[in-house]
This record gives sequence, structure tokens and C-alpha cells, in this order.
Amino acid sequence: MTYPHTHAAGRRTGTSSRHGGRSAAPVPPQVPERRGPGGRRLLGVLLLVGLVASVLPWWLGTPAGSLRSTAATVTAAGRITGLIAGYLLLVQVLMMSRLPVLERWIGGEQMARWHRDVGATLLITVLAHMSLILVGYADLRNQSVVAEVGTLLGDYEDMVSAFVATGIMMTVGFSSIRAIRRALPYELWHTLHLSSYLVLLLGFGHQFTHGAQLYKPGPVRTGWIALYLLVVAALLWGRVIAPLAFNLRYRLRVADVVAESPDTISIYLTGERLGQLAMLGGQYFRWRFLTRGSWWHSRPFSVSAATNGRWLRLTVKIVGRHTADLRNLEPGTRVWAEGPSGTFTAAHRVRERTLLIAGGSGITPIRAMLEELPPGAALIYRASTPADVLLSRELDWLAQERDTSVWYVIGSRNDPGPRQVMSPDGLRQLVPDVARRDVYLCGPPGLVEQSVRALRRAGVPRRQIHLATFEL
Amino acid sequence: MRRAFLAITGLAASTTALVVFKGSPSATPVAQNLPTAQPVNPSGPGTDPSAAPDAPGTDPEAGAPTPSTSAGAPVSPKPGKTTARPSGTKATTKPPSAPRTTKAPQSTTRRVTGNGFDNEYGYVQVQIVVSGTRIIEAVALSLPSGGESDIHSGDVSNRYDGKGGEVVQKQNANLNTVSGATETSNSYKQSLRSAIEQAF
Amino acid sequence: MPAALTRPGLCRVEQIMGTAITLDLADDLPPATLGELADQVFAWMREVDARFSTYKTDSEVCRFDRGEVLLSEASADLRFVLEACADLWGVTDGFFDAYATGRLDPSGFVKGWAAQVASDRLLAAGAANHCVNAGGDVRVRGLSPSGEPWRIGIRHPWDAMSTCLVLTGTDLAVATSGVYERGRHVLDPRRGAPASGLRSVTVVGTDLGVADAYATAALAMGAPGLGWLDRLDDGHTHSVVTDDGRQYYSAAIPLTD
Repeated sequence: MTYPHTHAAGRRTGTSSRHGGRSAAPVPPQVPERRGPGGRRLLGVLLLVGLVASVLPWWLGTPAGSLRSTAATVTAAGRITGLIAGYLLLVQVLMMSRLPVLERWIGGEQMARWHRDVGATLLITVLAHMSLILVGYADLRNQSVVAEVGTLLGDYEDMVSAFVATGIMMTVGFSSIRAIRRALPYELWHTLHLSSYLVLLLGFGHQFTHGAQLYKPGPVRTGWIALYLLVVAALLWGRVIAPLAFNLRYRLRVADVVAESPDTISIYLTGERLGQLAMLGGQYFRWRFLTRGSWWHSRPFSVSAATNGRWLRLTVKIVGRHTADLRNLEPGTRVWAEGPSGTFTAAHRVRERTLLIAGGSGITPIRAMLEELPPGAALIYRASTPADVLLSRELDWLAQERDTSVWYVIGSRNDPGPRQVMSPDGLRQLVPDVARRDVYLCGPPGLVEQSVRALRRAGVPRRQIHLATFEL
Repeated sequence: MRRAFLAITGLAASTTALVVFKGSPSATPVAQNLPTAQPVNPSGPGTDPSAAPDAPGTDPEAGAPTPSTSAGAPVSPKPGKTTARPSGTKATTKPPSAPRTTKAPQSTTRRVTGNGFDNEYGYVQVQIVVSGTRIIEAVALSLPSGGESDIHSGDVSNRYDGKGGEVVQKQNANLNTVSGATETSNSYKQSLRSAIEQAF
Repeated sequence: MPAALTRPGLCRVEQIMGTAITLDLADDLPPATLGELADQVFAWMREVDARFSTYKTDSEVCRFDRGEVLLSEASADLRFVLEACADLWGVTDGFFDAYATGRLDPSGFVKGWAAQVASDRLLAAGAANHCVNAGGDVRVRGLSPSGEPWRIGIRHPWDAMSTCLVLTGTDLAVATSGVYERGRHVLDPRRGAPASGLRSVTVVGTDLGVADAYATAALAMGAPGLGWLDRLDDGHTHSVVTDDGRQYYSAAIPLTD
């Protein structure tokens, strides 16, 4: 069931929107410049240099041939892993600082993936640091590891907090294992995860009171403290100052809530100086609607239309109690937004032409991006039933304006039609040059996984596949 | 996750490599026995004992023991050590920049550095100054120090009648003796013992 | 040692009590007499070591601590030391505590006291010019071999090769207590935890045992120890280096020019 080049204009009828009937973009926005991987590579190199630099004090301070006994060797390994862990913790926090520069260079999605990988590495490194130091010290003092734990906790300053920090880190790491995370309520998981800032605080002291490379006043200690201050500054800037400046500048409010389908709504927002808002189609904000019941709840939604200087729109599928309250938003409600974030944009394409694959409400960032893609894009829109197709009139209008092919693929995952289309052959048939296109994917996890597999087999390189994820 | 696994493996491998590299004794000699200027007897430059750290006291080319002519009785460096022999007359095997000695003077001071040992706070290395057959001084070249500074001088100097409060200065003057706390850590003793073994 | 032969007296070092004991006799006495005096000093030191070492399980201190020796059966030396430690416990507000580690360990007093007794005996034997250095605790009397008052350096806490203050005098007991090495703790007996704040404490007086105990106590007090030393009015002077590398000393401390 496909509709290539369906022609229609305007938004759905039957809505009460004051903005209804107008095209989303009176003047087609410019296609943004490609950003290229330069920023990401530079940051990657910087982080690696930092890693080497963090171990360098140990290297310079340890005379060659000095590690003669097992205890000395194990302790040395413990020191190295300690330095690495201290550094990785800072990287980890930096990546979650939402520093605008990082968001622009690397993007929230990529950052979330790095955060996950670095997080696993950090946890293992910290555990290695702890065990190696315990074993090494116990050997040096000729006592059991258990007795050594007692000595460390009793006689060493800041060691209790360091152990607590390790405990928190283990809890956070454990709760982030996918299977466990899915079983936990999001709020609980999120609160647990926020407690990892405590790790930064609690783990700080012991590095300087006992760190063999750090206790001594000198360039190493100063540099390490400076690194901490930089990361905390980045955190403050990205999490507090930049959002404050953004919201004081644009002062967003709810203008209208419009039903798009039985379980989907669009929220229109207005504000001041929206013409100056630098945002790309496909990016998302973290929203707080400042009502009594939900101000504390920060929710990531992508904007479902490119900037037009007059309003912003987010289109939200109502699932469960997380989003039910959004139906009842009163016009005039103040909105606190953090963003824009994300590299799921036309600016991050590698090739000139694109294929977009959307599933259900995953169409929203893709809808916004369509306005900024170069002509010749292709869109595959998967939905279980025709009623799940959102914004179809806008899509059809955009398809005509921007010379985009749109295929609606309706049906269950196991129906022969969708299965055929979502196979490598099916994709190649539909889009013969798929391997030379950037592919943007947004939809339910099952669809995304299946599509990525099919695309890889159809010969699409990994770096040309862009995923929208809103983790954290 | 695959990248995390790679990262962990990589870090483990590099940590092991770093430790192994620093642990290999071939990198640089640990003990450096530097000749020292002779404060008591300027005419006799110090000899370089160049004792091999792994084979103390086994140098077959060692010169004959020279009996000490000083008034003091020879001191046994350690109880139970009976093989101590007066030294200071070994031929230099590899003098880096030291003056080559042709004839061993009867008594010289020389400095012998012990092997370094690690404890949980860092690296400990002891040097002894030997005059003839006597140890006249033992000093720690490298001691882990510092840290745990939770005192503010402002708190201290309130109501204090004495002088000072400045950053501690180094003074080197002509001295008869030095007052200081005794070092008693195991690493210190191990390093001292190795210095003594090399010296005699 | 030609240079050594040009000066009168004798200098000898031995390893006793786990540390180096240096004896410098500056009197122009016959070598045989000097050697005999030195022998007596080191014999005394070995006797003290055998009696008071906490590392030798058969020392009198250890046997007394285990209850194998009653106070009434103890040697006069042990009884004197225990009494002195009890007095010092009172004078130092409990910060000099021979039981700080949980078992009897009077080492903070014994080393200095032993050197003091040795010095007293030398004086009585007619050797009025001498210097006894027991592992950093120094007792000097009279003049040095060069004919000038003795010059005593106080070790710089972070640089073993240099000193941070130089004292001079003809009748001084100089005791230093310090933590130069990280992780080497002097226990604060009240908290049972390592003291912090002071890095090195030197006390100057005329009785080396008392000076040694005062230095140990002030170090255990941590930062307040400086004030305590300052308020002492029994003729002791002091020099202190704090953890943050600052030096404080009594106005009356016998500095060199």
C-alpha cells in the first residue's frame, strides 16, 4: 500500500488550530551547510590526548625498574587505573554537561552512546582500581584484603566517601544494564542516575589526600584541579546558564493544543524573538511545562516543523501517564525548554541525497527535517494502520514543494507488504541508490533495529545511518 | 557495548604494558653510586664503588681491605652481618663522569645509594655516606611526603608569641649534627639495607 | 682518616635501637680513655635497647606489658621510665601517652632519656665537651672539636639533604618528632586516629627525654600543639613546621647568627 508522489496541500482539516491552513514554511528555508565530522574527530583526539596526559605523571614519577615486588606492581597498576578512572569520570560528566559546543559538534545522540560506552569502561576501571589497590596495599602491609579494607576505612581520610562513591557508581552502572533499566520505572532510574553527580563530589577528596601523583602541590595537582573546575564550569554552563539565557530570551508559552489523531496531539508554542532562534529541523528540546503537576518533569520531544519565526510545534503521541497531562495544557502556560539538541539534522548528512524512514510518531523530527533537505529525498513512512499516519497532508504538500518521494507502508510488521519493503532487496528496489544516501531513522526500537540490519545488508555504510535517540 | 569492551580491553592491555615496562630492571640502573666531594679530606677524590645491585660484595677485582686508621672502632652496619669488609678501594669499572682514581686513599667519604622500594605512598630510596668503614650518615633521597593539609596557618598564628609563619626555608650551613625524626618504615629499612650491602 | 686525626676526640656511630647513634667526644683525652668512654656509652645504649625495645618480645617492657613482670619486680630503669611517662601524660594533657597504640610503648621518651643519661654520665666522667645524637635526638655539652659551640641543624621536612633551622649552644637538648614520610602516623591518643596539621616539631631544653616527649605530644596534638608549646613556661623553646610548609619558632630559640 504505497502512495508515491501523493499531492495534497495544507494541514489536516477538522482541527481547531488558529494556524491551520497555513503552510508551515512560507519561504522554503535554506538547506543548511554540511557540518562534517571535523568537530567529532577533534574532540576524539583531544580526549585521547587527555587520557595519555592523565597517566603521564605516573610514568614520569616512577623510576624504571622500581617495580620489583608483586605488591609494588599491583599497586602501580592500581594507581594507573585510578588516574584513568579519575579522568574518565570527568569525561563522563563533561559528555552529559549539554555544553552547547559539544551538542553542536557531536550531538546528544552520539554523546549518549559515548556516555554509555565510557560509563561501562569507567565502572570496570574503578573496580579494577579498587581491587588492585586493596590487594597491593594488603601485600605491602602483610595483611589480608579484608583487614586492609578496615585499615583504609579507619585510618585514611576521605576513604569512606570514596567507597560510597564506588557503591553509587556500581548501582548506577547496574541499573543501566538494558534489561534492568527496562524493568525500572523511568523516574527511579533517572533519580539513580542523577545521584552519579555525588560520585564526582565523594570521589574528589581521596584523589588528593592519597593519590600518589596528586597529593603534592605542583603542576600535576593544579592541572587536575583545573580539569575538575573546567568540567564543573561546563556543567554549570550547559545545564544552568545556557538554558536560563535561552528561556529568558525566547520566553516560550503554549499557544494551542491540537489533536492530530485519536492518540496524538500537536502543541504549538509562541514566544519572543523566535526569528532569531537557531534550530535545525530534526532537533529536539527537553521540555518542562510549568503547570502545578508536571513542572518537575523534563521530557524530550523533537520539534515537528522547521523554524518559521512565529511558532514552534511539537507533535506528541499520548502513551500512558507520562504524556496524558499534555492534552489539558492551557494556552498561556509557560514552557521551560533546554536545547536545541541533536545531530539528527540535514546539516549532519554525509551525502547529498537522503532516505528517511519513519515509524508511527517517529515522523515528527523527519517532518521538520524534510523542509531543510536538498531536493531528491525519499521518505518511507511505516504505520500499523492508516489512522496512525500523522501529518500526512503536510507531508504530501512538502513532497511536492521539495521534490521528495513519499511511500506510506501500512500494515503489521509481519504482513507481506511491509516485510518485502523493509528487506534489503525491497529497499534497493524502492531506492536504487540507497547505498549512496544518508539514511535517517526514527521510530519504535523494533523497526529501527530491523531497518538498520536491512540497510547494512543493502550496503549502506554505518556512518551514513543516523538514528534519533532520546536517552537521558 | 562493543566499543566499551574494546576500550576496557585496550586499557587493561596498556596498563599491563606500562607496569611491565617500568618493572623491567634493564631500563636504567637503579643504584647510582656517585662519588662525592670530600669535605674532610679535599685531596682525595672519592672512588666510585660501582657495586652491582644484584651481586653485592662479589666483585672479584675488589682491592684488599684497608684497615681503618681512624680513632673510632669499626662499626658493624647491621647486627649479624659479619662479612662486612672495608671498601673504598674498588676499581672503577664504568665511571660516567667521575674522576678516575689511580690509588685508593686510605679514607674517603663516598655515597652509596640503596635500591628503591615502593610503599603505598610512593617511592623510598636511601643513600648512605660511608667514611672508610663507617656509615656517617643515612639520608632518604626519595620519600613520599606531603598531603593531608587541612590546617590553615591563619588558625595557627592567632595568639602565637613566637616568630615565623613564613614558608619553611632551606638552610645549609656548617653543622656538627642534625636533629630529625627517625625513619622507621619498612621501605626505608629495605633501601638502607641494600645500600649497606652494596657499600660493604 | 687524616683529617679526623688532626682534631682531638673521637667520633663513633653504631646502629642500635633500630637507628644510628652517633657519639662525638671533643675532649682532648688520651685515645684509650676516649675509646673506653665510647664503649660505656654504647654498652648503655644496647642495655636500654634490650630492656625497652618493643620489637624484642623478651624485652622487659614487653614482658611487663604482658604482665609477666610485676611493677615491684621491675628494674629501676623501667620504674623510672614508667613514672616519667605518667608525669609527662599529665603535663601534656594526655597527648604523650605511652599506651597510645594500645600497648605499652615508651619509645617516645626512652630514646631521648637514654641519650640524656649517657650525656650525664660522660659529664660525670670528665668528658664535658660532647655530642650524643640518638636517631635525631641530640644532646650537646661544651664545645665542638673546632672550639666553638656546637651547631645543630634541624632537618628540613621535605628535603633530607638540607636543614630548616640551625641552632647553636653549649648545653642543649634538641629533640625532633616528625612525619616526613606519608602514611607514617603519630596517633592522637584521644581520637585513636592519626594526627595531622604538624609535619615536624622540635623542642629545645636541657632534658632530652622531656624534650622528646614534648615533641611527640605536640605532634600528636596537631595544629593546637603549636599553641600548647607556645604556652609552656618551663624553659623549653620550639620550632615547628606545619603541613602547609610554614615554620614557626620561639623567639628565645638559640639560633645561629
